[in-house]
Amino acid sequence: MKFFSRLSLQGMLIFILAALLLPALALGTLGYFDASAQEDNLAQVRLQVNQINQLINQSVSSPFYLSPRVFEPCDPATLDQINLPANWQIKYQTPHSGRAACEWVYLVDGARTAADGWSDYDRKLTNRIYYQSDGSVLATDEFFTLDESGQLVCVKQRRYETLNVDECYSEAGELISIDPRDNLFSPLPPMLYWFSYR
Amino acid sequence: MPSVNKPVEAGQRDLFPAALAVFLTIYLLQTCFVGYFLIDWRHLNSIIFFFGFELIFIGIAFDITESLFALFARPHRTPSLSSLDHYPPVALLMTVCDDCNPARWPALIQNYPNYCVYILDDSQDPHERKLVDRSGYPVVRRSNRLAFKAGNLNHWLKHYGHLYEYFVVLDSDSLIAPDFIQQVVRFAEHPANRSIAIFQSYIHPVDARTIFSRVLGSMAKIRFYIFDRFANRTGLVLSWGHNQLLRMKAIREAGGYCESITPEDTSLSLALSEIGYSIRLVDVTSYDTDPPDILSFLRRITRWAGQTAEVFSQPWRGASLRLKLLLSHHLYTYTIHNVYLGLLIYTAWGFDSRGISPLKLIEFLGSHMQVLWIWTLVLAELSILWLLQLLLRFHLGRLAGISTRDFFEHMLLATALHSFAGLSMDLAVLRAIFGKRMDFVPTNTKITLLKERPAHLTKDIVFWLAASGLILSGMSLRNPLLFFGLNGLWIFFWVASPLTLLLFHRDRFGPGRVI
Repeated sequence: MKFFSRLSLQGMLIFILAALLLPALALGTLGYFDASAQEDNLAQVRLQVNQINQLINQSVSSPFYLSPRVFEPCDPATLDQINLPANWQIKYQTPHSGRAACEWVYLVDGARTAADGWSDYDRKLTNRIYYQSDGSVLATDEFFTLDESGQLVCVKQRRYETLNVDECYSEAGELISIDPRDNLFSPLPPMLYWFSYR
Repeated sequence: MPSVNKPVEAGQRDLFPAALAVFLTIYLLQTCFVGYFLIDWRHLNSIIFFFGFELIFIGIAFDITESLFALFARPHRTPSLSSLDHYPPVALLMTVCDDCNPARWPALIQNYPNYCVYILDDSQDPHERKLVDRSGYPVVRRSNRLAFKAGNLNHWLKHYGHLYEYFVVLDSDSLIAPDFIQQVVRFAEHPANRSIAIFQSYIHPVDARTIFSRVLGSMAKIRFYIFDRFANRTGLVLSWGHNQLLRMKAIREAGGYCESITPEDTSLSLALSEIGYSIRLVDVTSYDTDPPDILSFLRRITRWAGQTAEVFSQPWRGASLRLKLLLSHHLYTYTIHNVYLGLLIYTAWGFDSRGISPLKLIEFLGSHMQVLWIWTLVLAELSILWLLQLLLRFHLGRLAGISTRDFFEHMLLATALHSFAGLSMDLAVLRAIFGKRMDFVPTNTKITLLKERPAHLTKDIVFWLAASGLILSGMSLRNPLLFFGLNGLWIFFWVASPLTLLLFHRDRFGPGRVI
């Protein structure tokens, strides 16, 4: 108590502000480190997903690539003409829901690694699901996502299931938006002057 | 032997520790709730908002604490004698500075048998001096106006102070009942009140001749209702400089009024606390006038703001911790509008909601609810906080006898005034911080300097136009969603403040009437 009464008025003001902002600063520091850890985690998962994506794009090829032939992914016979590494396998299946007419499930050494969904409308790739080694979903890429009015929202929208994060990629493959919260502003606290009585 | 009244609330507890605990609890809860739920520590926008919020939460926590104590605590009752067996000499001082009000002179006649009236005249205007000379009371003048009111009072103390045990300080617009001295000396003479140096009366507004003045003063009842239950019970009372009785012994021990800064009332409160004396609001009613228009109001609020900042130029080591806290809160109230304005401009430009209509926003929230539910939670929490503050104040207003109409009219006026007067207050505070002493101009001075004519409002109007333009352009170009919701309401009040002020000056327009 003696300390406070010996404190100058300016010192008191600084002390109050420092004391009151200290919890905020502590929370901020913790929050910052937590956010950094999440950011690192996201970067790691993103790298893992990109590696799987790259692996599929490099490993899977077909003789009719760039040929005038119409590509029909939902004909199981098409799979016979796909070139794969020896330890790879593609399993054809029909999904129960969604906008995919059929799915190709990629198995590497027998383990489910990814799955491509082919559009029921134009047979283009509509989504790609990435799996973890335990079989759970790691992330999902949705291609050419449209809003309710038919406007193109993202060329590729990626959702990281475990992190609850969405990413939107441009046609050039650039990350253009991560979080829907970017669009939201913050509500301001109540006005103090409303209740002034002097 | 004088008879002694027992205090109505004998053994009333000091509520300061409890109030401090409630304040800190509310503040920390808000900090943790918003810090945990709302703030995304990866986003700079979010972090800036959090620290802005933290500053605003200080005021909200104080406001709610004050309201809660006013709601649940009992009023403070200072013990007083039921009658006096002797009448210590009392001087009744009316300070005048080009603002004399002859209508108040009859009220200086008191039914107390041992008192003298002095008019301490600092007027420069010869007509004002002549008018004061016709008052029929002894007039004390000095050769200069050094140290303004403090110098004026010290001049009297030096020449006449030794003749009196108490003195009452009145301003030129003060109005007191004939038994004012009688009533207040009963408090001062009570043996339990020896450590109280200043007995401050409740000052109610009187002679409200304009709509502006009437509405501005309409909250006096709630002010005293809260003061009696919060400030008086927690020791957070400063001298208001007039309509009060002062104990001569204490003032002399404090070395009279401090002349190095202009707020003579606040500096005296601090100096008295350094030597163990306190100030108490006592149940005696007196009156003064509120500013009749925006110009007088600006003169008063900028003086208060500047004077508060000026107090911080002195160290006041050894003064009461509570008074230091109170002064810090006062300085806060004169500067917090900058945080609101800064955050509004930042909200208008820092967030991009182009192409999102309110309907789309609802759809957007629906489709991203797993990410955004916490945002809606904070929105709800802040809305509840608004409502809680509003209802608490409204309820207190009802308890204090304030009508619903007066409550909301005052709310509208107070918001417009504080929005519009922001720059003037900032300049006054900055001038004081940079060591410029306030030029003490009484609120009701009759000398209207050229710079105080309506043109004086130019800088406030320009500031209002610039800030409104900045916010509205940001809302139009970047964040149209701001037009909706609570922030939109805030902006509406801010942008509409000149119109609101015109509305409260509607009686000043007409033939021969100029603001």
